[in-house]
Amino acid sequence: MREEIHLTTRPTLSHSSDAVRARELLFVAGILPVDAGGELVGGDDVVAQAEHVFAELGAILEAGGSSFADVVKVTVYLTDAADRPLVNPVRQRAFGAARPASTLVEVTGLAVPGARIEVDAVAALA
Amino acid sequence: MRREYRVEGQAEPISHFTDAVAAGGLLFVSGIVAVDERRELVGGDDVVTQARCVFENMRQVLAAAGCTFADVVKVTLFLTDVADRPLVNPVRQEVFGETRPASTLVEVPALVIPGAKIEVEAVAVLPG
Repeated sequence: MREEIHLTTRPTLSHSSDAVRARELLFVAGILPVDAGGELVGGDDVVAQAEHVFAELGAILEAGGSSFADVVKVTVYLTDAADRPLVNPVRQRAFGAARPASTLVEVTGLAVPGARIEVDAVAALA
Repeated sequence: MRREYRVEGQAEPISHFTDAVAAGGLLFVSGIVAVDERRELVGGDDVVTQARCVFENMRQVLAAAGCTFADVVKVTLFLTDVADRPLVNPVRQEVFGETRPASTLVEVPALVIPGAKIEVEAVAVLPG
């Protein structure tokens, strides 16, 4: 009842899977704005970072047999809560008509220096 | 289909919560810090010793519901200093072995127990 999803296009920053399927749900790891080599994407631009993060989220959801429309809960971690209005349009584009339950908090740091956003999610299976 | 777990040997929860709750075939484990049964900090200023205590506490909570580390689906780590990540990762590797739960790690300015440098919460799949 537990299956790990590992995308070959994603870096391994720690002892983690990209997502794990359990029962009826897919648990997606926190996604940082990094490329396959673990390098920061988007420079200091939180919108570019967010677009990369949500593109990665879409790819992981698809690999895990889910989609944005199936997402139940997202948690968004920002290093500056004032970035929220900049990130929201990216979320709207990604989710469309679907509105997951959501928590957003400001944190003092993320695992990759320069990263301004990390997003994790729980999704139903499509 | 909801069952609360209060685990013997774990400190009394500091607020209105319990150690873990089972629902929908999953076990939701509360955030765990490095404290003993009397809620005294373990490991002093040493984040590695704290991490070992956290995961030992987690092992006990998981076991109370019939789970092991191999059943863990997701972990969220809260560190007061993100630079401690390379120190904590080997402890994770030790306890999880071949198992790789989905993971989120963030730095926060403070945790509830003074001196605590790491808190970890988890979701696991129940046996059966």
